[in-house]
Amino acid sequence: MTTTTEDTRVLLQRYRDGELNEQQRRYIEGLLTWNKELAAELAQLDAMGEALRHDTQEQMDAQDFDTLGKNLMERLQADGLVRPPRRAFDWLSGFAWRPWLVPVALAVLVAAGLTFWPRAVPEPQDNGAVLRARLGLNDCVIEYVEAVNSAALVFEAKPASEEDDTMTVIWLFEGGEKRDPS
Amino acid sequence: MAAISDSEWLLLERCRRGERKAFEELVSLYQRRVFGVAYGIVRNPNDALDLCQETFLRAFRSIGRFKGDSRLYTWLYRIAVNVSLDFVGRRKRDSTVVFDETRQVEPELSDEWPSSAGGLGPVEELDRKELMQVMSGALEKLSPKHRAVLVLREVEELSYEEIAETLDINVGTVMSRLFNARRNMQKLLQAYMKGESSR
Repeated sequence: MTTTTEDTRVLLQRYRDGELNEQQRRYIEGLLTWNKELAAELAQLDAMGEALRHDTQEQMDAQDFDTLGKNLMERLQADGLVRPPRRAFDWLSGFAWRPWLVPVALAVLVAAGLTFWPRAVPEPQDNGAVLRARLGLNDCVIEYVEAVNSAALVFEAKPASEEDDTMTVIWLFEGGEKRDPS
Repeated sequence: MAAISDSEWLLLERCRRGERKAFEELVSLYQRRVFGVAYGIVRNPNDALDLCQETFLRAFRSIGRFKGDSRLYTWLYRIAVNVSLDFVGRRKRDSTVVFDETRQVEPELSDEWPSSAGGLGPVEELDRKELMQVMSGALEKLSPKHRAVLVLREVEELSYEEIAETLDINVGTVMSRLFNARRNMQKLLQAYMKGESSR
């Protein structure tokens, strides 16, 4: 025998959908404790909802959305709604076929190498221990180092002893020749 | 009515500027859900995928007119529902299937509520795989508008207010449409069970 009214069924669905106020919710929960027909109907609704979600989920998982996105972007681009993708070296593509490109690129590389290759003369950073070892100034402290040009290096050598406050300025020319300007 | 969130607004602004990455983000965010809505209505995955693409195309073409007075997903769902209902309407014109939206139950079914007294109803007696097949068959017999309201509630889990906004109907209509859709589903399932048991 059917005891559940149409109004109660409406409330049951709204209860399941979380659309009842507190008082209505308590009323339906009270009914569900003893009305087996209503409880069974709720279980049916749950099973239907679950089946529908599961079916849709399965279909979603089976789709190739990457292709969808790609096709969509192509159509949007054709419509002028999106800008075409920019690649980092797109500007080079116009030159790629030109026969003079390779020799010119090589010449540029060689010129850059000649300009920026490190010189034979030690740089200012090449101080202290290296200079002392090279010049045999074992008892000195190197105070100041400066590369004057590509051919010479000037530095001050101060004796290690504190009593001796004399300072020697030494020019070092390419090839290792030492010269004291004083 | 819930308005668009700040992050959604920023994304839309980037789309309006024609930023490809923003379009890709938007599609990636909502493609599955839009597909789900379309599939729920047309019940064919290939058609649903085409309609999903059509939904985004229409959305992007009219993005400048979107004022942001609803959430982005309800706007997209609205387009998806309209595109899908149009599709079903065109298909209906080309076939002999007749959906009678004004009638609450399918013509061949009784007006009595399916009884579930004395234990669980027919739905619970089926195993999952069988249930899917039965459900699928029953859903195809529902009207497209009933399918739309069911999928928005059961799959997308929208509130009545959000469904009303998406379908551009009032909340009362959502409730009655949902109620009748579920009732028809139960009756169709019961009819199926009776047919199975009489074999």
